[in-house]
Amino acid sequence: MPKSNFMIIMGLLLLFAGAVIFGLSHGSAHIPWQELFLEKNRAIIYVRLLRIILACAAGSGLSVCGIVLQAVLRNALADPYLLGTSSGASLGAVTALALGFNVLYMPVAAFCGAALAVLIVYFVANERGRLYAHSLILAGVIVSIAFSGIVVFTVSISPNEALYGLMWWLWGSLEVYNVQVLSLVCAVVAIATAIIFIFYQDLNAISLGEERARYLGVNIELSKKILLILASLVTASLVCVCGVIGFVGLIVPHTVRLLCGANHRRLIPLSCLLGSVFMIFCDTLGRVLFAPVQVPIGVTTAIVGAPIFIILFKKRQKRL
Amino acid sequence: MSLILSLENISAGYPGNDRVIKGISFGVDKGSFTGIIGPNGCGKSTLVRLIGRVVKPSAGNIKLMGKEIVQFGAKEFSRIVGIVSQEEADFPFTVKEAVLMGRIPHLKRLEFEKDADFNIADNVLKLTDTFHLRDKFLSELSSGERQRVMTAMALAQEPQLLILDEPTSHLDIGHGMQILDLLKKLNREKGITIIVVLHDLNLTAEYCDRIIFIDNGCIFKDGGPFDVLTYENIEAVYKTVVVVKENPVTKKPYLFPIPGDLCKRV
Amino acid sequence: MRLKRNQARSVQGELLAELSSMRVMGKKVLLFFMICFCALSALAKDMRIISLAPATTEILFALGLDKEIVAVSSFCDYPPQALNKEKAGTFSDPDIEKILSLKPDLIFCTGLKQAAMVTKLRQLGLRVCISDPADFNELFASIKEIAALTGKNHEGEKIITNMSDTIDWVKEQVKRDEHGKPLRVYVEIWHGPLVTTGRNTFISKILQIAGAVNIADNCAKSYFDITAEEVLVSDPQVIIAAYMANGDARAQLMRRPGWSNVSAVRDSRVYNDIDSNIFLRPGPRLALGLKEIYKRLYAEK
Repeated sequence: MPKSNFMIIMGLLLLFAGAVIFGLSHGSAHIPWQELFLEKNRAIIYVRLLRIILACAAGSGLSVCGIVLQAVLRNALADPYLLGTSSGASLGAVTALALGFNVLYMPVAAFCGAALAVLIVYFVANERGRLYAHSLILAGVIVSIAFSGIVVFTVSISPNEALYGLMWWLWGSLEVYNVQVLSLVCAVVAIATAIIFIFYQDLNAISLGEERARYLGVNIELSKKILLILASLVTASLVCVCGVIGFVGLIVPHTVRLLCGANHRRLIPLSCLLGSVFMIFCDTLGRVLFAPVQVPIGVTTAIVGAPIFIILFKKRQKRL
Repeated sequence: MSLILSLENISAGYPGNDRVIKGISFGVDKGSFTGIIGPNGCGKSTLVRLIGRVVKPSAGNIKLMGKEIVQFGAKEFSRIVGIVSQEEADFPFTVKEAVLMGRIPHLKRLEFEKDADFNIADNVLKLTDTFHLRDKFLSELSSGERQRVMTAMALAQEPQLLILDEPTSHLDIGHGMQILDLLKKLNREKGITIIVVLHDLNLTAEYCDRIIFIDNGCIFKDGGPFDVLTYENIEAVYKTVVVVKENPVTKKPYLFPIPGDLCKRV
Repeated sequence: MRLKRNQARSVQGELLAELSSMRVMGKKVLLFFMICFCALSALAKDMRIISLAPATTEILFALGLDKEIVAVSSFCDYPPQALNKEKAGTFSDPDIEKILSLKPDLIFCTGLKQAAMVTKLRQLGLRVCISDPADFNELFASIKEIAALTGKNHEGEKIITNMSDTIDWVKEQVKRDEHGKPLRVYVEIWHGPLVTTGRNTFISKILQIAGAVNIADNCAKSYFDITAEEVLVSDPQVIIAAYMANGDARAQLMRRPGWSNVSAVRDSRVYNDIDSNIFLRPGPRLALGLKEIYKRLYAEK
C-alpha cells in the first residue's frame, strides 16, 4: 500500500507540472515551452500564470469543500454548493448589477449574498444547537431553489446588461481582473485548506457515523460547525471570483477515493493536486477549442469530467 | 469492588417522546460482565446512547469512576469507554483504516500512528478473526464481518469499559459465540468491564454474571441469571410462555420456547 | 336674326352644357380630392403602430410617426418621446393582452431574436413587419420599406440621404489621410466576462468604413466571450468600451493585470464616452455613431 501511494503522489506531481506547462504554452498564441521565459512573451505568460493560479485555488478549494460536505453530510452527492452558497452569491451579484453598483463591489456583494444564504440554512437546520445532516441538506436545497427563483426574477426585470454578468455566474470564468482579489482568495483557500487538513481525524471519524465519531472521542458538534463554516467561506470566496463551477467538488474527491481510499489524511492533499490539474486542463481546453470564443469553465469541467468519472466508477463496480 | 459506572435516577427521551427512560438507577462494578435485556423499544439502545453522551438525560446523572461524565473531555472519555453501536458504516475505508481509527482517542490532533498503534490494530483484528479482511473495503463486507470489524475498532481504543449494543445480531451462532468468548476472555484476563445489550436470552444467561432486565424504560429486574430469567418474568414482560431449565453442562438457566398452539393445549 | 338667336341659343346651350359638364367634372375632381383627403387623413389618423424593437422605434420617430405610435417595448429609450409611450412588453416578452387591446394596424419586430414572438402575434391575426438589416444596404432597404408602409416615403429618402452623405464624407476623409495599416480596434461590450463583437455586427462594418479593423473579425458571430489573452495577442491600438459602468471603469480596464503592454492602454486610447446604442442599434443614428468613432480614431490625432 505505501509503495503504490508513493507512485500515485509522484504521478500527480508530474501531472501537475505538465498541466502548468500545458496551460502556459497553449492559448490564443501557442508558445513552445522553450520560449516561455522570453521577454516578448512576458505579458501573455503573466496573464496565463494568473489564470493558472486561480485554477489551482479554485480546483483545490472546491475539491476540499466537496470533501468536507461529503464527510459531514455523509452523502456522496454533496457538492460544495449544497448549502446555498452558489445561489446566494448569484443573488448578491445580480442584485449589485441590477442596482448599478460599481464592478469593484460585485465580489463583495456576492460574498454577502453567499453568507446570507448559509446563515439562513444554518438557522433553518439548527435543532437545539445540533446540525443534523438531513436537516442541512433539506434546508440547503430549499434555500438554493428560493434564491435561484429570486435571481431569475431580478434578471427578468432588469436591463440587458445584467444578462452578460449572469452567464458568468452560471458557468464560471477564470479570468483575473484584480491581482489583490486573487491574492485574497488564494490566502483564504490556503488557510482554510490547512485548517481543514488539521481536522482530518475528525473528518475520518465523522464519515463513519455521527454516533460512532462521538464514541471515538471527536467533539462532533464543534468540528462540524468549524468545518462547515470554513467550507462555506471558501466556496463563497471562490464563487465571488470565478462564478459557479460545478462538478469539480463532486468528481475530484470521488476519483481520489477510488484511487487511494477515503483516509482524509491522503484525500485532502491529493485532491488539491488533482483538482488543480483538472481545472488547469479544462481552462486551457476552453481557451483553445473554439478560439477566439471562450468556452466557460463550468461547461468544460462537466464535459471532460463526466466520462472520466463514469469510466472510473464502472471499473470500481467491476472490482466489487 | 469499586463502581466503574453508576446511573442515578436517569430519565431521558427524544423530542416528541420525552419519557423513554424513566428513573433508572444502577451501578456497574469494575471487572464485571453485565447483560442488558428487554423487549423491542424498551430503551436499551437509548441507555447506551446516554452512557455514550450522545443523548443528554433530562434528569439524574451518570458517573464514570466517580466523576460525572459531562466533566470528561471527548478523547479522555473515549480512552476509558469503548462503545460498539449498530450505526451503519459503509464509507470507502478499508478494514485496517477503520480499525486504526480506534486509536484516535490516544492520538493528538495531527499525530500520525506509530508502530505501537499498528500492532494494536493488528492484534484486535486477529482477536476478532478479521485479520484476513484487513485490505477490503467496508462496503465489501457482509454485515456480520462489519460487526466484527466495528468491535475490533472499539477494542483498539483499549478501553476499561466496553459497551456493546447487540454485537451478535447479524452473526451466526459460531461467530456470535466467538465474539462473546473473546469478551469473556478480555474480561477475565485483562479485567475489562463488559456491558452487553443482547436479544438472545440464552447467550445472556451463559455469559453474563449479572442481568439488568429493562421494560418500558424502567428496570424490571436486576440480578443474577437465575433471579432474572424466570418463566414468570419472561411471561410478564415478553408476554410469551417459556420453560426454564438448567443447561446440563454449564448449570446456567436455559429457556425453552413453547409455541403458542401448544400453550392452548396445555 | 333668328339664326343668330338660334346660334346664340345653341352656343349658349353648348356653353351651358360645357359649364354644367365642367361643374360635374369639377364636382368629380372635388369629390376625388375629398376622397383622397379622407383616405389620407384616415391613413394618417387611424394607422396605429406598435414597435417592439428599439432600433425600429428610432426609425419610426425619425420618419415623423410620433402620433401614430401607440406603444413601444420597455427597452425603447430613444428619442425621449418614446419614454412617454405605452409599454407593450419587454424586448423578449410581449404583453399580448395590451397589444390586442391597442388594436394596432402594424407591429414592428426584429426577425431573429424575436422570431417566436412574431409567430405568436401573426397567429393572432396581427400584421407584423420584421426587419433584420445586417449591413447599411439592408438598413436603407428596410427604412425604405417602413417608409412605404407608413406613407412617409419622402421622409425616408431624407434619412437615407443624410446617412449616405455622412458615410461618404467619412470615406473621403479616410481616403485623404492614408495611414497605411488600418487601426486595430477592440470593442468591449461587457467586462465580466469579456464580451466583444464579431464581424456580423454593424460596429464591425462601421470600423471598416472608418479605416479600422475589429480585432474579433475572425469570428463570424455577433457577440461572444473573448479571453483577455486573445486581446493581448491582437494588441489593439484603440479600445472602445460600450458599457456605461459606474465609477472608474476606464481606469480599471487600464489597470487590468497584463494589459499595460497593450498599445491602446499605453497610448491611453481607451474610449468609453460614446453612447453604445448609436453604433450597436441598426437605426438612423448609426451615421452619427460612425462619425463619433471616426473622430475618436483619427480626428484627435
